Amino acid sequence: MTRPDTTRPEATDREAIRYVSPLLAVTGPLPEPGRVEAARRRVRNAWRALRPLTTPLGIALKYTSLLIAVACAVIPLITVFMAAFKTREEFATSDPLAPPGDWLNLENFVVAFTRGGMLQGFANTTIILAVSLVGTILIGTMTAYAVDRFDFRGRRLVLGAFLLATLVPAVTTQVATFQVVNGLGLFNTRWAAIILFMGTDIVSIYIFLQFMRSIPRSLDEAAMLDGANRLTIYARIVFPLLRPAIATVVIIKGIAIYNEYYIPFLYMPSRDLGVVSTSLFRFMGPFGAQWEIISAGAVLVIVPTLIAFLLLQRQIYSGLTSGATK
Amino acid sequence: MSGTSHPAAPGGVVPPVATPRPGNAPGPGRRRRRRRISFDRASFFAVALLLPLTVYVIFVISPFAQALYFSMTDWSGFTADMAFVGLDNFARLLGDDKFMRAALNSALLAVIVPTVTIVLAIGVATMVTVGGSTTGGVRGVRGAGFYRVISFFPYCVPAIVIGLVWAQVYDPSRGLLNGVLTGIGLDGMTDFPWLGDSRTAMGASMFVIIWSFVGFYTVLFVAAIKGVPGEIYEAARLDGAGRFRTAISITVPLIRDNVRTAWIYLGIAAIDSFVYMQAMNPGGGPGYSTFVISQDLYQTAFSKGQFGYATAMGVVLALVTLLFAGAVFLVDRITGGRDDVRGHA
Repeated sequence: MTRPDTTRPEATDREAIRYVSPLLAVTGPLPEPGRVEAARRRVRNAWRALRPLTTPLGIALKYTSLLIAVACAVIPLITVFMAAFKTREEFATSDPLAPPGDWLNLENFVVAFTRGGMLQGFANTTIILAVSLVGTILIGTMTAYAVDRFDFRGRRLVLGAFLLATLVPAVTTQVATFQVVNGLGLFNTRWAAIILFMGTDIVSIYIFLQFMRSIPRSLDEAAMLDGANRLTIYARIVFPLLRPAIATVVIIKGIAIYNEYYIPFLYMPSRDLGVVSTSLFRFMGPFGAQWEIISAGAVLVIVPTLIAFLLLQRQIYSGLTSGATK
Repeated sequence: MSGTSHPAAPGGVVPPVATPRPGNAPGPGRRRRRRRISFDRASFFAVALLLPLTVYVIFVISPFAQALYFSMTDWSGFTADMAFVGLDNFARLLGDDKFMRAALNSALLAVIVPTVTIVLAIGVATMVTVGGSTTGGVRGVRGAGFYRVISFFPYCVPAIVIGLVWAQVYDPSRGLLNGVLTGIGLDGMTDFPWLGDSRTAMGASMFVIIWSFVGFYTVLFVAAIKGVPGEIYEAARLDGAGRFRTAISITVPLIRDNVRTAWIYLGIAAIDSFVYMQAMNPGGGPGYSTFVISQDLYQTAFSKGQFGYATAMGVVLALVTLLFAGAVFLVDRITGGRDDVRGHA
């Protein structure tokens, strides 16, 4: 591919055009400068001429498609929300989009909590979430510090080993991992989920690593000159500076753990150890086709994440931004 | 590369710029730092790196190595004895119609789900960032924040809930979808079983998976597009580029790395798809039309007790995934991925 000449005369008058012209030109052979200007003028005029015609239609199309997208995203959730307040007969007879007759009918929620084991589910999820998050943050920040700030042999090997897990699906090693967990006596304990969430999390290590690179080395070197040891540097300098990355990991990882189904499903089959997702799925058995009770359970599961999401949106976006553009 | 201060470099060849910096200058002097194996360094190293690595090796690397071995045995999982059978399990897989169907379905998911998700996510991301009014500065459509929030919504809903909710939407008699379709006059849809008909089950399931992914990737692409200097879009507009042209010629090449990463992550997630399929059609769907490798693996191992055979399936799944990632990188390379457009700046 021939790279277009970025020093063409018309490209120099505006700094920004130098970024763009090569991009626009890569799709075809590069015409000589005079023709380019003429073609450009033609396109511009055509665009101007079309504008009164396309704009209202374009706007209509644009907003219609966006509204359809919004409807697709929200309406299924709204029907679940309304179904959670309906009685059994009401649910069977009424339209899915019709609001429930009595918004204060909390019967389904009571059933979900008492007989569905949701209370136990929330307790287990909270414990697992708290311990694994603390562990992930400590392990992730320390590993990132060690990998980024120490030169040691096999550094690339370590990074490569971590990369392996992102490319090999967890299901592949499921049977063998199961044996390891079972052999260590962790099967059917909360530790199975906690260790698996904590020890195998590569994405957070990568987020920390990327963020770590933006912290100037001169900071830790200065601290070292002042006599600080590695632990002090980690605890007093690196860790506090990693706070934005920690917020991102807490949110992303927190949502992932809360939503995780497979690990608790496989490693903690005991009824007492149900987390929110597995407890909810267990409804399918005893409550069979009782969608109104399943809906109530689903609402109970969604509400905490929804509140967290609405409160933390800004951090989520800025966290993803810094992760994506670095 | 940065180690330019090679003492033995022939002085005549090296341009004068390359003279070594004074020792205390803040620069890329990684080699300059002295290596002392102090107690401090060693102890911190042990805690900060060896501990996580040990956990990682035990729970990720060693199962991987074991899996390769188990896949060549006839191990049942409940007894300690296992016989080495070589590649028999893999040969058996080739003749296993149920598995081949599952592999085909997984491959289908790997191709369609990432493609559709990425196209939709780039579309929405373009609209909320640069799709706004054609006059004035480059900005998103009106109410961009609202659409962004709504599109991220499904990401916060656990996959298992998504599966259950959509199973309800697709319900033949009381479901929302058939309600809407009959409402707009399609009477033939009165009790069409979307998940119970082998022609629609896979499409309906894919729709759900895509639905749950689009929001997250939209936000990722929004972040990436915001990293592109606004002047580029303004200049493109001055050059007369329309919105579609802008999306194809400006947005996609500039966020190319993000698109490639998204493709790989989405593909891996789609090849798995266990939770969604389990929630919507636990048995694998009509005529196994939504049955995927991960479901087959789970059943074979934990219901039928054929650990060796199941692990062979897992190894095939890993190969499929690696092939997929390789294909994405290859396509990226062929279409000129190394040619970083930002390099022109």
